[in-house]
Amino acid sequence: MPGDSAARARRLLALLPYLATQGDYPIADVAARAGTDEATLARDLTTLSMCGTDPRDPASMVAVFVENDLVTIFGQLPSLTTPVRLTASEARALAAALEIAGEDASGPLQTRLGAAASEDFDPAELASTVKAAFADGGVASVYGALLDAVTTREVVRIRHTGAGDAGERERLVRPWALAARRGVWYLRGWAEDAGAERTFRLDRISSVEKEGRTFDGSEVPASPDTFEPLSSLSELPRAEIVFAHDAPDLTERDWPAATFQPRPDGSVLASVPYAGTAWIARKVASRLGGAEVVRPAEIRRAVAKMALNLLDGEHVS
Amino acid sequence: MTEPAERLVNLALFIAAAAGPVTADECRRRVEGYPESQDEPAFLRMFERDKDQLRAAGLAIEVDGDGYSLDTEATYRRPMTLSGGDAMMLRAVGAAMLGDESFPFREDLRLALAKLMTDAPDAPSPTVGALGADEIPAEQGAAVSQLADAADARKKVSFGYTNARGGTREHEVEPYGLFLRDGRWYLVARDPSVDGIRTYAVARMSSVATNPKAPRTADFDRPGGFEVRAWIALPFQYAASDAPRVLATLRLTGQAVRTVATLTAEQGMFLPAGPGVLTWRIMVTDPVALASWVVANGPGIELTAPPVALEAMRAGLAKVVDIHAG
Repeated sequence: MPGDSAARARRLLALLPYLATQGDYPIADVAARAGTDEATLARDLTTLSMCGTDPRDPASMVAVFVENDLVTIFGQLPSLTTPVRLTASEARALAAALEIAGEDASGPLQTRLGAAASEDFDPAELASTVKAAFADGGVASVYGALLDAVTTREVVRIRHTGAGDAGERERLVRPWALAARRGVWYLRGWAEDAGAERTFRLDRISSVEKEGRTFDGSEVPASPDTFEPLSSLSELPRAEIVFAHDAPDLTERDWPAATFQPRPDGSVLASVPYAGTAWIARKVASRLGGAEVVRPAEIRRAVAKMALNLLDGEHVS
Repeated sequence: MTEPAERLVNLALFIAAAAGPVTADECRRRVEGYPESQDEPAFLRMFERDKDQLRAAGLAIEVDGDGYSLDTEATYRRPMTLSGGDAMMLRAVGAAMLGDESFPFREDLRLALAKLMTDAPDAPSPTVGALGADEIPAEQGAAVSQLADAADARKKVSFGYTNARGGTREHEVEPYGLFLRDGRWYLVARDPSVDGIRTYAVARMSSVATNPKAPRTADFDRPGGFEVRAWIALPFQYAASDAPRVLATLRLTGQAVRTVATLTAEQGMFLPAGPGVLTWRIMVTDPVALASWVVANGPGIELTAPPVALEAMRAGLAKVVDIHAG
């Protein structure tokens, strides 16, 4: 049997419990719950309407039709009205996804959901063979609070440590979205105190408090969760940095939107966009002398200051 | 003509609705979708495949002599109470991971959430996105899905691999586990040709294939106590296999403690050193890379040993100040 038929059958079987109670339901609601799109759901339900225990007995068929964006269930299912347990592979997928969202494998939600899984699923086996994320307890609590605020569009007061900050700062933010990249979660939103779009790493946020007021959802840009730059990088100022000839990791992946120009002596001249001085100063300082900012002067000063602070004892005992 | 997927659903409904065990012949006669013109051996092969597919969907089909029935206890999940917060978390996980092409278990996750959300309270769908592996994400996701299945089934895999120097050669390995680190998936596997465990970047693989012979028979045993996380290396731990290893000691405070799992990839040893302070001990092969890593990942990381790394940091930072002065 072609694999897509088997996959489709699994999807159809997972839908059956949604058809256990007679009534009319908006197709959008059912699709959202079932994790599918409306067109696929409509096709699947049409197929299910042709299924049953006895093709000669209409009363034994799945009694469903879709019309005018409504799912109408007009009879009882012949069987399979109760959700089936998660298979071992489904439980593995759920556990890995929750771990990426910051839910520890031994946390209460994972434990309860684990009870819904087939007895074939072994969480210990998964933990020892697939590692999709590292769950920091503090991040999990921040994630939950921000998720709630993103959903209810409530302004939050966060305590955040910037990349170049020695200590925390309080920020007022209209939270637009949560987005993860390379295993790191970020909050994207409008920083009221700065009057600008900002991105904050969740693992640099120590607390979240709701301000008790909401913001207008119309101000949220399209797809704030896709991690495309909210501001055009072309609008950002650029720094020119010369890297030594043997410098590692000179890729756009490590220096987003940078351009690199090899020079005759083997060194590389990079043009790097930057939104703030702290990030770029720390990255240049971490090269331990293998990189020099040519311009602008403010970044040269920021790099020197950061290195001096580090020498003064921030990191060197 | 009945679609194969319809036949599977019909069979599932029929077995689940039956008051007792049903025979293969009853299924053939009463379940819509089995071709009448089919001979007995062909029917039995199709019936076996169908039962396997239903078991893969979570239905525990028991065999008792010639009869087949559903083990309801093993098939149906028990009622569970999910809070509004739980439902929102699941919706968020779905929104993020189902949209992430590099997440290797997307279809299984979709089905898991469909099964769980049946009786969950209503919850809005939050604006959440994710991209775990950012190099050729769809290819990495598909390869990791295949490699994880092969590791589960203890089946050998083969692939072309391009190393960091640009050389390509074929590998056949025994896959033990996978991890995602800094936006890249890695396979940890034993390479029988060198009798050693190696780590491979999935993005550098091509033409990943699972050994098709004897799919239900394991090709190898994984060593007891294997932990994939033990094979995760930090940037200062990469070096030639004969490079000397030295013990580094670092003091972690503040944010570094809050994010210690992510920061350190749970490598090394952690000792409490006062309220909100940890001492981290870890083996290092490249002390200069360690010094660079400490600066890049601060604040809250203080290097205390080894002296060679401390000296590299002092000299390096002094050079930074020198070339940026004035």
